[in-house]
Amino acid sequence: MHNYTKDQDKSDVMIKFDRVTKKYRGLTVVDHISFEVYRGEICGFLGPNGAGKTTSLRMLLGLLRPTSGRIEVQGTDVHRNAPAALDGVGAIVEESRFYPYLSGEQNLRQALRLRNLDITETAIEERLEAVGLKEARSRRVKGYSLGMRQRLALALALLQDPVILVLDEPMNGLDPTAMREFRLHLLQLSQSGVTVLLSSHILSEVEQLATRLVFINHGHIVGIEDLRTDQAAQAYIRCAEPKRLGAWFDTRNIEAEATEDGGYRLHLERTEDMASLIRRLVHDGMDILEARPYKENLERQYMDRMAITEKETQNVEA
Amino acid sequence: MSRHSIGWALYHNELEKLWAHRARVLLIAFILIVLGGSFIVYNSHQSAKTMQRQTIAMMQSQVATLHHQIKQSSGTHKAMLVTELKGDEQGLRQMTSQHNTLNVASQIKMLKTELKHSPLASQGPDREELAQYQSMASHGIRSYNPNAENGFRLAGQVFSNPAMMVFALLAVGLAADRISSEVEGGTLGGLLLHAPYRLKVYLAKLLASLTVIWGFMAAAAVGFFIAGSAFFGIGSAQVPHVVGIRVNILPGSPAQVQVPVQTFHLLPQWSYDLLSLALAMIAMGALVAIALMISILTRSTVIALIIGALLVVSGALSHLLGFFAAWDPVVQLPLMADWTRKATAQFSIHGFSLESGLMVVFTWTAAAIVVGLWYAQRLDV
Repeated sequence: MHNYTKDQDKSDVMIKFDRVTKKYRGLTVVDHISFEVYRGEICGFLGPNGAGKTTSLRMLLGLLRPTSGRIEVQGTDVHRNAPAALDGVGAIVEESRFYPYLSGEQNLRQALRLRNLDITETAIEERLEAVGLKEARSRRVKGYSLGMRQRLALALALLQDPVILVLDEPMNGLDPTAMREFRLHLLQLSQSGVTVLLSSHILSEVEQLATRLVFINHGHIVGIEDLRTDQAAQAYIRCAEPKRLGAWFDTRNIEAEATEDGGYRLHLERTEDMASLIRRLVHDGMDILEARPYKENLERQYMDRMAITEKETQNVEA
Repeated sequence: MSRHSIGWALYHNELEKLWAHRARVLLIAFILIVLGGSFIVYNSHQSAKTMQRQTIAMMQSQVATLHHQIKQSSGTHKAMLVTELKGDEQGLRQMTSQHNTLNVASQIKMLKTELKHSPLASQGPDREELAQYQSMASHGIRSYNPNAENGFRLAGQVFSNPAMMVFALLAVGLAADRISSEVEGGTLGGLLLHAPYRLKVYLAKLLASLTVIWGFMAAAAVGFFIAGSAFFGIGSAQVPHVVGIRVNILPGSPAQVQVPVQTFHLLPQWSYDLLSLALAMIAMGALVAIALMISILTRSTVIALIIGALLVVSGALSHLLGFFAAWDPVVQLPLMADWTRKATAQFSIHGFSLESGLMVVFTWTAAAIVVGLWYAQRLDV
């Protein structure tokens, strides 16, 4: 598994947004956004509806032209040399659309032909079977349910052992079993070095998958968080006497934030400091009820980020 | 496993999509155009024959009555009736000769005699006719009925009649939604994800549309030949067809005034048919290129179809366009198809010719392709 660190080698940058702006008839939809996605990571791209996620992803895939700025995929400018930049990029963009008058099999065959891949009966059957559409292969896509379409979209996105996957709401319409299978598949791909940029409203799924998060709102990047390095050294402690524990932190100048359930959240320099802290608390007679590494709830992080942006926006408007 | 270039894959896919999407429309159009068109021609031909027979019968009855009246009359009245009888008998002979199959050798002899006694200025039509009969004689055709249709004539002439309008509407209908429907349906994004080659995607759509409309026209030509052969017989492929008559419009005279000069050529019917088909295909190719350009510029199937249809019917409004009608590609359609240049008389535009028509059509095609390709690179999907 390829682990991301803050000092990632530049050659590992697989996707790079560099001060990218997109305006539609004077309205700025994406405003000077810059971020990078590294090899082998699953990067969650989060924001409310209309935040600029889909526009950013469509620019990344060469479907929209940025008004200014530059987007590089695998070190190549997408808008100067799309075929080279997008070679080995699989994608699902928003609602998956297919030719409704063609069958699932014909839609798949068209994509395989464009990728110059095997279009023999066996190859097609295998791919449709993998996404559970073997029985519906001859039916026209206009008769497919949303879930079936999404599974066909997955089959198309994963056609050519992708190096990068760009997924915009890929779990829309999937049932819990399919969602779980998809999650496990994504983790497998990530472990084999595939880079994933994932946009989804299903925060619980993103939380289980993403190693890094990019928050966007009103066309601005409002936060980037590395879930491994930023959260690995946080701890949660809860004792039988919360007030005494608070005072203990205060006297030792340890910054700790009280949580609603009477516990405390605090930053540690290193993960190994957790054991030392517990030893000291026990030594000072604290009855520890719970002590564990702290992982912030994604929903809360998301709401916090968006709330800050809303407040900033209101201030600007005022 | 066969490996093909991306261009071939795109073209193959576009053909597959067109066929899956439009096969039913094409089949219905084929039946309507070929069978319906052939039946209409057959029906009008039969009506004309019936009318001709009725006219001959009426004139025969009139001649018999005149004979009877001449026997019973005298003096000035008789002389008047004799003059009237001569006129009617001449008319009857002409009608009967038109209805009958002509002997080629005797026609050549008759025309040569007429040419000896007619002034040089009015010899054009007779020389044209003589050349046709001489051509028939050299190809072993001994008799000929100028009014008889056959499979060859129907196949060739269909590209110079209102069926062209149907082909034109079909060409616009096929090409006008090639891009707009993909933008509206959200499938263009998916296509560009698998094949991020915008120019090749555009060209593949153009070529696939051309292949289908040209294939349809070729199939229609064969269909007309088969239907024509069933209705009227196969006929001779060597019957000469006159082309290259230069038509001028006399200044200040009505548009229909034609002054043929002797610059005609003779083509055997099979050759004329193929060339008519080729010219019609060029004209339809221009419409396909324009419709595809409209499709990408408007990104709306409904708007593209409306503009395309207006373009096709604009030929009928050419008299309102004045000089600019010369640059209407649709005005060129009848000219392109009827390259005998007789059609030029329908439009009050001086200098109308096959060459100018080709130039207009090629200019439109080139401009449409360049604009379409330019915009394809900039289109936000």
